[in-house]
Amino acid sequence: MTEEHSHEGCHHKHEHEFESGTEPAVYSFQSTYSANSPYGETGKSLKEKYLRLFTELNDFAEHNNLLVGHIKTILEAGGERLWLTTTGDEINQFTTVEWDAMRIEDYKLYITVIVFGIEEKELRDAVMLRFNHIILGE
Amino acid sequence: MKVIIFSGFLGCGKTTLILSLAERLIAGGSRKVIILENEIGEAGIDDKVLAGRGYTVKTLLSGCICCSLRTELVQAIRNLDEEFSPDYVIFEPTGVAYPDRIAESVREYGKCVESVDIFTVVDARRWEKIHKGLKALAEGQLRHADFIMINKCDTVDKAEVEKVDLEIAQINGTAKRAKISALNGLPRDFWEGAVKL
Repeated sequence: MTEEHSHEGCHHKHEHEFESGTEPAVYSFQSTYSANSPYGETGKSLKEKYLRLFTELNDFAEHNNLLVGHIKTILEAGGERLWLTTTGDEINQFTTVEWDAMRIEDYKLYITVIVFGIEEKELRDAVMLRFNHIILGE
Repeated sequence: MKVIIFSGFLGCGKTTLILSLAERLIAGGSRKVIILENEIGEAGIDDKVLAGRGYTVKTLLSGCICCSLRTELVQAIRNLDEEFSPDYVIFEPTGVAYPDRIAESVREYGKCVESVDIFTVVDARRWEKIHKGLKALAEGQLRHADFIMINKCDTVDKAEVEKVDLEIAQINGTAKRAKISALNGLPRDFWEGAVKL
């Protein structure tokens, strides 16, 4: 997949007096992606990649003793949609009827990762390392 | 208009429950329902999940409503009243917001508001972990709730559900409480007991 975006991750500064060290790190972005292959990629194949991404992010959090606030994403293509959401273990998945079977050339991605116990830069690096490897195949 | 604030930690199931409530409120076609979202993160996701089902979804800018965006919330409610005259506004703040502060602002400045209720959702499976690590937030989201939904009860055993229920009752003994699994479906008349329809 090739990317056509510029990352502008969200820096969420919360003004509450959180219990010390418990303000969440937030990394959130949206962009449009195109398949490298001229034939595109199936919705099912794309779903499996994002499920793997979510699994690896959950594993990263568990391995580093972090609390996952919420990891969620929506992918949109051709009027169809994939929605994944997790709070650290199970991954809930919802698709519109035609998602799995459709062939996708371009899709819009919206993703938000919220984790406690980590700095935002570290979270961003952890997400992008896995995203670039699993989704972009770099 | 009647305002319902849906509170609860990240990922507890607020959006799924809001969908269910909104569907119930618009059944029959006579009520106008607006859902107002305040979500952490630039990539708005919850509004897309909710959109296109017969009610209007509006989004407040990224940032936490209970501290920096209270003025914007009150103005948003006034604008909604002028533009839509809704019967209900369902407001979903971020999962790290304190609902009582929001309710206070709405009651104080929202002249068009007939009532404000706080519905708090708890994740039965994660309650222990969240209560231990983020005690002030977990309890702050419960203390002033009018209705508490202990969600994801299908993911833990009965004893654990009872334990969570007992702990929550100690924090807020006056709110009505319900043990549910939003993903598995709610009883047909579930919202009748919670909302004055």
